[in-house]
Amino acid sequence: MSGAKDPNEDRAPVGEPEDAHGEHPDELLAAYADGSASAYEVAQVEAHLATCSHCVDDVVVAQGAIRALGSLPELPSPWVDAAAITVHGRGSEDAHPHVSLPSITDRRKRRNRTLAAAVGLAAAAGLVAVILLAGQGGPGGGASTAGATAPEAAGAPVVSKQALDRLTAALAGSNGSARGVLSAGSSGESAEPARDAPLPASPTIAPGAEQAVSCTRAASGQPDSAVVIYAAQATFQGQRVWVIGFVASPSSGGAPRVAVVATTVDGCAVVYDARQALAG
Amino acid sequence: VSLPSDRADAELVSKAAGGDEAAFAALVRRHERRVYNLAYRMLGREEDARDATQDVFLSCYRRLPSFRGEAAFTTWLHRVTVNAAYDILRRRRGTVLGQDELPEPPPEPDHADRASASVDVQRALMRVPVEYRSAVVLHDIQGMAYEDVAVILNIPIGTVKSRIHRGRVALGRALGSGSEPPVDPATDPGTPERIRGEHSDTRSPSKTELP
Repeated sequence: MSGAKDPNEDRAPVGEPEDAHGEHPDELLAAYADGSASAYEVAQVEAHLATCSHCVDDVVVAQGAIRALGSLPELPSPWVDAAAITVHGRGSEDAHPHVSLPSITDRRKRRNRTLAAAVGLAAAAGLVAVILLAGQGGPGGGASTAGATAPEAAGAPVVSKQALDRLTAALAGSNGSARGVLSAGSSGESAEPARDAPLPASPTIAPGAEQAVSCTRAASGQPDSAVVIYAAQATFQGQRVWVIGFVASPSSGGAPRVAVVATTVDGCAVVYDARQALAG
Repeated sequence: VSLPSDRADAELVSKAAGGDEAAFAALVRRHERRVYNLAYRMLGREEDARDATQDVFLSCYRRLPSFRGEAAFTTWLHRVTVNAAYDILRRRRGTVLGQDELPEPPPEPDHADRASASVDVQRALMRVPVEYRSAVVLHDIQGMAYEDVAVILNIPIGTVKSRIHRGRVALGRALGSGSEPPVDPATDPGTPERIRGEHSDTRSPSKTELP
């Protein structure tokens, strides 16, 4: 339908009777109706209008449309968050802009030090998260093997509220065990931790996670700029849930914070929502 | 409608492509209102227009390094915006919108009668076939010259003028005809394909196309 190569370009689209326009100088009528036609064009059009009541009607209708369009107000600025775009924009071309799942490689490229550090720290803490989740008696067995694979492979570990609290604390980097694992899993506390860490929120995130992230983002009121650092399925209070971790910088400034939200796989109801400032 | 100057844009684009985030933020501030207005008039829903605007600037940020300045930045940005709107319309296709949910009133303080008149115009605009609508919005609302619309939509200028005339006529008749459904799904020609020439949207952009 579009593009310069379409040989049917000048035909009316489906649904519009072609004969309504077949013989009429539409190109000239546009400029005539809005007053931009040259004197020569005006003379041509008026010669046609003298014999064509159809075009006279169309010109009158078109002029009414021009007036109506001219009356439309200009809408106010949407205030795009340019800083969030520069952070997200370093990611993959294929990633949906509203579901930002940063990869390790992308993270390396990222320029925003604060957020990069925040994401790196929290992603490293994801290692702890897997262990915490797997350690709750899920069918996957021991933490060392279950944690090394995608969470689906380990089933959906049964987690308690306390486990999710610990996950939140771990993602925020504010508990001692998280720091311990962080330093064990990486060479020092850099923003470039544990590349081989079995992150459940890695870019190979399970199909379906994007939708879960998207509905969870909306259901828990996360800003569009919130970066997803964690996504895993679990069983919580007898329901299959998605556990999604976000890092967001408050628009008012201040330290980035972590949010961990669990939503039901069926219906995306929020069953757990904890927020914690990201530790140094 | 005043267009931001191309020269200042070129300077900001060059800085932003080199990683200057303040320059990118300045570009966003200069153009976001036009992008948002174009998207809103194409889509008729504030939420969709915001999504489209965000998509546009994200694409823009990613493609800045490949923007070679052969065309005005505004022209390129308008093309990216039209494509973002087409993408959303395509996703929306199949979900037939109820008359009462289309469109939202524009978020602005206004006299009630004027606001209601502009809702009527927007509603009628949504009944204009998409290919005509993009040409009409670019020319009659965004104030782009016929020549610029031709470049943005990558079609001959004669086609632009025909589409604008037919689009205006369709709009005028829709305004006069009361409350029909937005577009009859049985005769809706559908959303056009994306306009080629956004650089990474096509694997082999021709030399005549915009970056």
